Amino acid sequence: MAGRGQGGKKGTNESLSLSLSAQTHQQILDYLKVAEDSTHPEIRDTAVQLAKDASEHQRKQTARLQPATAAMLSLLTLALAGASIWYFFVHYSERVATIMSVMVFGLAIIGVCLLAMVSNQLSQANFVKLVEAVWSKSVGSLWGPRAKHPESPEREKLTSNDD
Amino acid sequence: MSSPKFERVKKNNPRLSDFLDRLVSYINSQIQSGESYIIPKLAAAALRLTDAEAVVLLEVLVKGEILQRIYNVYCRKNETLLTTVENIDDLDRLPRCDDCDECHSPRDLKVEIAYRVKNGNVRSGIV
Repeated sequence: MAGRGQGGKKGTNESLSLSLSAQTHQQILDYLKVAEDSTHPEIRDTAVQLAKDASEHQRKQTARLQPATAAMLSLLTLALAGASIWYFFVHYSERVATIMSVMVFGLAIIGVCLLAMVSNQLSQANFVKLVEAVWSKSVGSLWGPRAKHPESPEREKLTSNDD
Repeated sequence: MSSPKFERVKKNNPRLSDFLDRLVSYINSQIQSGESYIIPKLAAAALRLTDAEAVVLLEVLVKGEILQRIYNVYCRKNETLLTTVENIDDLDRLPRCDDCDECHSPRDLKVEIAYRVKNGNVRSGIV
């Protein structure tokens, strides 16, 4: 029952380079993890729940931004995006407004994802996936048809006439 | 007669009721014999459980605000108790070791997790 190196746990260089509080937290998580293999099902179930709670608590503690603050900022971002979209449709032609709205909406979604990542609610891998998805949906939908334009039916007709 | 807090913990964990009764009996016996800390390894041996299982039961009592987790920090060189802290974050702000006359790095220290009755009401025990 001691530091990570003594209690029969892996005394790797990596664990020793962690701060003492992080090592101790890991030690508690290790105990809970071991208890998940307990022969007593009631203790096993409690260990699973405690480990989940401990991880959640640690995630909140290490977040660079509090989840409540992130939620408020996300709401503000989406509200600003909504107001911008309304402004675009009032002051610009429908085509221009649509393009600008898609861009603003995409940026707002990326902003919300960024806030979620900073508040430890979203992993970096999922953030990258979401950014890629938003990029392909928004920018892809704007420039995709133009890129396909040369292959339009009129073009195909012209090329077939050439033959 | 059990304390209302302990009854609440048992009500929230009905399947652990027997284990918790045994653990609380052990804690009370330790307190009556003058021990102020509950060491999971010793509790596990007394209850014939593994260390990990004892930690789970002790953590249930921590969650129920009956016990409080504390951390005894020892200097590895001299095996002396450097300090006891209540908050895990305080482990990163430890005092200078008087015996070695230096500020130790984490690898020179070892932490023992222990538990004590919350609010310092040690003499009366839990139940």
